Amino acid sequence: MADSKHRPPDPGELHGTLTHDHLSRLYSADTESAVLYRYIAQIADIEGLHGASEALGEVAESREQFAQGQLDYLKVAGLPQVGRPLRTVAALVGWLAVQARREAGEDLSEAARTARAEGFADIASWLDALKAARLAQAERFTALAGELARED
Amino acid sequence: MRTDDTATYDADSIRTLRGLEAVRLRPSMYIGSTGQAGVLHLLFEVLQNAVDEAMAGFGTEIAVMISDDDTVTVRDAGRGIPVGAIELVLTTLHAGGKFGPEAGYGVTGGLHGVGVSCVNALSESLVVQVYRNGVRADQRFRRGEALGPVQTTPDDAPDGTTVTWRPDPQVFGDARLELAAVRERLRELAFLMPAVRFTLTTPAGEESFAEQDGAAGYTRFVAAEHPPVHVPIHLEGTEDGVGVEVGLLWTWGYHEETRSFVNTIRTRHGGTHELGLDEGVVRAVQRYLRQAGHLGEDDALLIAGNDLREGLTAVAVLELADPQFEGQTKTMLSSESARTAVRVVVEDGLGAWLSAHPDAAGAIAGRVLEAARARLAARRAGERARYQQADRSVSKEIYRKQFGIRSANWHDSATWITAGDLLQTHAEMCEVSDDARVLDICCGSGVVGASFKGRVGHIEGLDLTPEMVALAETRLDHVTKGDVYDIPFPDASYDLVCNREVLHLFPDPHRPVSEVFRVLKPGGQFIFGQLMPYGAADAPWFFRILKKKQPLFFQLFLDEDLLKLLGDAGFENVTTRELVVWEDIDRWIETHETPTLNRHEIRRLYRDAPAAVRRIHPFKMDERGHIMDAWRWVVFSGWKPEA
Repeated sequence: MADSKHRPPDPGELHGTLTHDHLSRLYSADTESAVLYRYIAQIADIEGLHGASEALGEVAESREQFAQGQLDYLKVAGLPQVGRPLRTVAALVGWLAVQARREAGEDLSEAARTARAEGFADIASWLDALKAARLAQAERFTALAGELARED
Repeated sequence: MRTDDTATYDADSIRTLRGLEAVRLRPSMYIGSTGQAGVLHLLFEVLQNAVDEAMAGFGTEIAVMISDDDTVTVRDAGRGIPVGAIELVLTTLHAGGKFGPEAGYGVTGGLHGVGVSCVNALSESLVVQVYRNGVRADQRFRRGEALGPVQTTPDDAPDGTTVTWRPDPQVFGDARLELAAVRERLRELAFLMPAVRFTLTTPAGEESFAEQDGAAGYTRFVAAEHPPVHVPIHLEGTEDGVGVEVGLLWTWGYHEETRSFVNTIRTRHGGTHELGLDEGVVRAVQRYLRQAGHLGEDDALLIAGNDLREGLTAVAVLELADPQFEGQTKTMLSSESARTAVRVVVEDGLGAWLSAHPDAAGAIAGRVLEAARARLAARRAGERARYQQADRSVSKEIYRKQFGIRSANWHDSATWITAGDLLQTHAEMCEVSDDARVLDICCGSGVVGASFKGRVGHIEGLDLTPEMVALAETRLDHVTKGDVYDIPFPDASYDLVCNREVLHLFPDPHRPVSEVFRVLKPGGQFIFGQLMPYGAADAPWFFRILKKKQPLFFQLFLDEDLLKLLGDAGFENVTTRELVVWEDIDRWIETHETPTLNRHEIRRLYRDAPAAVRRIHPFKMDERGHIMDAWRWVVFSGWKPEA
């Protein structure tokens, strides 16, 4: 036990563990925070608060690095959102297409319906535009997967 | 990719370019372009040498002469190039007197000796005449090579240097000098150097540029189109060895503009000095607003930095001994000392100025508070229309007020409104009889309805806004005040209904389309134009731009959305025609309904547009940040079935 405690962790053993779950949550928190900080940094810059903008931008950059650090482990144990390990890019692209199509089909369609029902017409239109864009992205991934498979 | 398998790469392959050969071989590396901008760059390089002499205190007259064939002469009244160094300076890169303190240049804008030798290399012919200490020295060059030694003769004319050159057609083809750009630069320099008089002589005559009011006067010139809130503010100081002069002028326009210069060189992409300017203005005005009682302590947070800068024209002029720039073209300053110096001079100077000028300060405070109120009103406009949509009603007052204000300069507020091709496309799709009755809904100034003149019998307009009704009455046969959710005409009363760029403004576009269907006669035609994204990839990006510009924007339509909307309402035989209209985005967002923050965000959305958007949606952003967008318009035609 003493040996195993001190050897570097084998990410392959992560799948399905609580640590895997924790890393996935940290990945989500880091990516969400990075986008949020960048957004606020941009507004701070426009408002003339350039010191604040720089600080927020630097923290955002660090959080992106943290998120990539989580992916270093998660790429073997199972990537967030797709739930598949990243062995080769070619093998993953098809799954990215599936994920993009699922998000557009289920999540965004339902969200747009709800927004419209609640009287948020502009938000519904925004969600529809996102849905169309994600479906286009899914098609692009599908085409890319086909190209990569042919090159294989 | 290998091009020649037999080629050998050894010591004999290594080539050293002699003299100015490198400049002629790769001119763009030195002057950025071999087009119109390059020809202009040659002039600015030589002009800058004259300016640097004047900045060092030598000479108060600088003359530029341009002949029909773009032969250019720049004459200064400086000390003259030392006669023994003329050929060296004209034929050697990095040879000049600005590298050290010996020549007496305090601060300079020149490219450290690269400039005039580059001009020589890229000129078909160049002649330099130097008057110095009672001697006149002449030397001629062709494509950078001296045609002979310097010729000297006694001459007691005042000291100075005259350089005459003709840009080489082998390098620049038929690119010509843009006189407007030359004038703009001379005017800039005149404001920056009040002690110097500049003249421009062309075949059309002589113009003089001499200004006494420095940066403050320059703000008045830049913002000439907008009514000023106060007299221009002039601030000046030296901080940590950095000389700072700033002009500030708030106007009643929405446009915000900053022009900055370092040692007379325009820094078009800003940099640390503009950051310091922003910070100084924000701090000084925020403090004044609190101290003068315009805001309670708690309210201060409601005034955002962008409210303070709405309608502000600022000119910052720096003298800096060793400025650091991002890149060779000197368009962005990176010296950190400049940021602190400008911030301190502006924060302290503006604070003191506001205290000493209570009337003007009160007017500025009023301008800032109005910007903040307008921002909040724009937000509320979107929110109010949204909440009321829940109970199926829309506040007409919001639309009436917004378009009432815009009616004052409606035709100048965007290119698309009067774009001839777009109006013509609507008219060309008209297939009704020449005695048809036409209804132009949300007619605005009536230009769309008027485009059908000569093809139909009677054209009626309908609009909610009294100001727009008044405008449309000058173009259409009759105009009624009313709205499209409840068109005030009986069923089946028109042969053709038209509109343009309207449906996106409604939370529920099915209602106006159903109303159009109702008032059309069986067999009647509906023609409408709509601004559309190019596809799914640019739709979210374009949505954000449109929503930030117009708080009443509710719908972004893809082509299939509008086809479905028409089909659901009962229209048949729908056809479309597409065309592109280049829209001036700066002009389009210069409106009361777009808060300053949103204007900035719109510019950033263009600047940071993702590659997937750029691939399908053409737009141009020039080096001054001016944006032109190739807007995709689609004009739809649908028919109400015969009974």
